[in-house]
Amino acid sequence: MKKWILIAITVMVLSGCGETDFTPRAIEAETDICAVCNMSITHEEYAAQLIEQDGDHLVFDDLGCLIEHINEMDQAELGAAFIKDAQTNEWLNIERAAYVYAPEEWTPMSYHVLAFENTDAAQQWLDGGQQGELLALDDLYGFDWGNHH
Amino acid sequence: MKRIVLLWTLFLLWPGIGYAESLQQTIDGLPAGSELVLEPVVYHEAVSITKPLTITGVPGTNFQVDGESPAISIENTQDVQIRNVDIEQGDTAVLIKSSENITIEEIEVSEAGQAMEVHDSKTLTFRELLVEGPAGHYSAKGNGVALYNSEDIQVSDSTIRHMRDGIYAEKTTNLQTSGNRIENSRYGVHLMYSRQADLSKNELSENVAGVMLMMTEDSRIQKNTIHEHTSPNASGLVLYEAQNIQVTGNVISANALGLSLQKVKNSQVTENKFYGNQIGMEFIRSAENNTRGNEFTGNIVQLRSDALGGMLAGNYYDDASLLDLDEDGYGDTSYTALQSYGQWMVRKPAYQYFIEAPAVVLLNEMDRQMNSMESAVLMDSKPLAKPPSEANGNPPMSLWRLFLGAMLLALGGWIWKKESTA
Repeated sequence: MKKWILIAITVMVLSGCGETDFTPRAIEAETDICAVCNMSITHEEYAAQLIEQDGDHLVFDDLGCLIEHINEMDQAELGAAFIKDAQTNEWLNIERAAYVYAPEEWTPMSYHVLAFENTDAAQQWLDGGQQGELLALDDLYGFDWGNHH
Repeated sequence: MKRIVLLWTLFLLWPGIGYAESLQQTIDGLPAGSELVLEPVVYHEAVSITKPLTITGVPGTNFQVDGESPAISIENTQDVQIRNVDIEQGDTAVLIKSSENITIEEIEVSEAGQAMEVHDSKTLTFRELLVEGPAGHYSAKGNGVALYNSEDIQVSDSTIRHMRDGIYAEKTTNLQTSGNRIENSRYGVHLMYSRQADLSKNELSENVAGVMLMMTEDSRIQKNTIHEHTSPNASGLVLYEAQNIQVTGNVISANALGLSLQKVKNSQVTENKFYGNQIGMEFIRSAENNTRGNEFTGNIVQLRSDALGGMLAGNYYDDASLLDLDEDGYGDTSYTALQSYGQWMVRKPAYQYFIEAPAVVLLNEMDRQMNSMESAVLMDSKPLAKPPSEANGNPPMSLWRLFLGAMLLALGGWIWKKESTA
């Protein structure tokens, strides 16, 4: 009997040490600030967030701030990262999203890059008469962000 | 018979009522350069101005416009002046686009989503605005004065409360703000990608940040009073990715964080007074800036930094134990800013209740002794022996205090003499 109790306790303890949840959390407008530029997240539709391997969430007010943080962080600590869809306001995993650099589009830190669910959605947005350049995630890591020093 | 006469009279008057001009029709009918004095009535229509014009209200002139149209739009024109008008409700009170030489003064705006919004315009003056934002969280509001791609702007002697940002400027050149009072908003003044801004003699309080200056250069922040920014993540001033900024002569008091420099280059922080902040000043990737002549008094943590540190020279610190034996005005030993307990207090504010506990006093003294032996990243090799405010002239003599002291001394002597003779 004791053996079974011991096994049950072990299972319970190990289940508590399970995989980190890499699900994006909701933005708290009252308290969330960008981990890079310290701006409060007042335009949730442009927000991004990063979940570290230990489960810590960092939020960003603009995709550009997220990319800057990823470029400077220890890549081993990166769990997952998300950006808001420019059309649906849903969270998108940055690795599966498509991007458009649209200099005429306002973003909180003027990085002017919007995220879309996939390339088709991004191309459709451009075909609608918007000016911009289609980008992949890898393009962003070395992107010339224009206005930024 | 009387009824027939009454109906006939109404019939005669009806066309006159039906064809009364709207305000927009009146404006359209005026020649360029005219002056229009408004009636003391409530206007429920949005108006558009596209020619030089002076519009003056009187007490009781009020605009109440529902929907998304701005109450007053000024587009593609010049030489427009609007003064003494109240604007209530609405999405945007005044919208200015592609215009030049516009003056907006003595305007009271309440409950509007955004008070003043300016795009691609030049030479604008906003004076004596009173802006009171609607209830609710700042993320759901607009700004007091929002400027985009504009130049030569003055905002002065205005009061702005309960908005997102009191003054927001994006890609704007030569913005001058002075004598404004901005409170209970997200940022008092928020500059992005701007140049040659001058913020002088403003009072900024109880915002998330008094000044948020980002990607901006060649600007001055001087003689402002910046106090009581104490909410979560609050700061008196935050300078981010900025260069050639002068922060001079400001009083920065009772903030969670007085001044934060983040990725700032070639800037000067001089002759400011940091009083009673939780953290006086912090440096993040901003080691190469000149910080001198400042007074750090009563801050829980005077200074903190990342590993790169900050450049300090000739500041006054009230927690420095200094001797000035050669009387040159500077301490004979250097000052190093490091307080272990203070750093912990920043994370756990409740620790402040133990600040004078014997163990904490001992810890602070150990810090002081250790700091004098090690080279640290936040070291002032020439700390001021006296606060600049005291050094800049003789301390004021208080005659009534002198008289009171003399009277108390005389009273004490009289009591002592009376007791001794009794």
